Amino acid sequence: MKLDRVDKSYGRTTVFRGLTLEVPSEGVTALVGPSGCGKTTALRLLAGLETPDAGRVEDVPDRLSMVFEDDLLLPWASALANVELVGATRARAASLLAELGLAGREDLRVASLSGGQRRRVAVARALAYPAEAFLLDEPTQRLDAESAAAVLSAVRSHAQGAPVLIVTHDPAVAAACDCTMRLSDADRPS
Amino acid sequence: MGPAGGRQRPAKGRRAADAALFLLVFFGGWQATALAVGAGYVVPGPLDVGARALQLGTTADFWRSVALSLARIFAGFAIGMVAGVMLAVAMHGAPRLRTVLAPFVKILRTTPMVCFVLVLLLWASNTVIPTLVAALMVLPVFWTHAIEGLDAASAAYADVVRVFRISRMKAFWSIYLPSLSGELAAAAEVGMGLAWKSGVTAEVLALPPFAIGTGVYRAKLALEGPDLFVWTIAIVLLSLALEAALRALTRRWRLARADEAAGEGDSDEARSRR
Repeated sequence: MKLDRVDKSYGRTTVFRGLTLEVPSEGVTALVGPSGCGKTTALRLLAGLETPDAGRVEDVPDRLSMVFEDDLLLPWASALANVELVGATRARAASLLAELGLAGREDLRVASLSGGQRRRVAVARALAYPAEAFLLDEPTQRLDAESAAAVLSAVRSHAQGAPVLIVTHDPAVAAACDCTMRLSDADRPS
Repeated sequence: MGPAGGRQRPAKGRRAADAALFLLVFFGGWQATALAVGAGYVVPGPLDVGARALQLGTTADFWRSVALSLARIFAGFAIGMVAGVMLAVAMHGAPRLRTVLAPFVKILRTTPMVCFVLVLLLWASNTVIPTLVAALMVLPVFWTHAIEGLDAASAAYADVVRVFRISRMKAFWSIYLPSLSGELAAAAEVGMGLAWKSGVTAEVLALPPFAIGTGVYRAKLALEGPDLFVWTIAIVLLSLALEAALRALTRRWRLARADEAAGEGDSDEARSRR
């Protein structure tokens, strides 16, 4: 997956200009950088949720999975139903939720879960989708170190060799990834 | 800790005292007005109205009128609700249909109810006019809430639907429709009051046999002040009862919505405190 000399602005706000970023074709890659430097925008461009003003988005697999910046879960539905929404069987959904420390909470409505539990449901949903690449925006947000480690372990085990790009502010998460790409304030990866 | 932003309920004793004070002011003011006017057919006193209520309340025609009015107006509410939601769903799915039909719904919303009654008097039986008028009043309310809810849900979950390639049908049944519950509860509360008021007014103008509105009209025609007050009190009490019943029915939806709103952006710590 590659962003090739991409420009992106929202109105008069330029997020980046001439950004080139190539995600390794396998393994878990961390995308780090200061707040507001465009990490989420880069992820959304790769996912096809945003269109670049200039430049190209290349070699993006057909089927992507994503953890969004906001959870975007269905608050009225159970944790299980949220994971099943993307086509997972009930057994697979339950197994993923259990792996992420949510055993016994599968049938609770998402609205009644804590912020960290909701984040893990969002991760379970992303991992349940049969994708060729995973784009995870702060998947360990609101999680303690133990839960974050469980999330990273589940990501590695379920990605099955597919490329994973994780946006993170957590140095521990970045350190646990296979490689790190830094988006700087100069809007270019270093 | 009480619900965030919610009003504190006063103590039970205080509520009883407030209610007693309200009744005293209401009935005292009413009696004083009746004595000051001195004409029972214009402003009957509460005792006269109470005595007449006891008389009317023992007649089969009174209860038949109440039951038929309720049935007619509730049928109108149900028709308006189903039609409004179905129209919103169709228009949400077909933008061109929305462009064509949206002005009609806006016209429905802004046309005075009395115009509908007068036109319908030429075309329809007086027994169905209150139902049709209630439906026409309720339809735009449900349409507006439903289409706004559908628009909001499709905007909020657009990324999910796109990334996970969720089919339109599945998105509709699993995401958009369930997300409407809060909007529909709000529409039902507004719509029920509107249906009741417009339905009774339509009865006053259309005069169907055995109807609360017909009772109001006849009482006014015969200068029967106590009868007019009894019918009016019946209308108010039934409206309050319908509102309470509806609130009880939609309680689960409203709670779920409040829960969802409270859940957004909470930290673990905040959640555990609840």
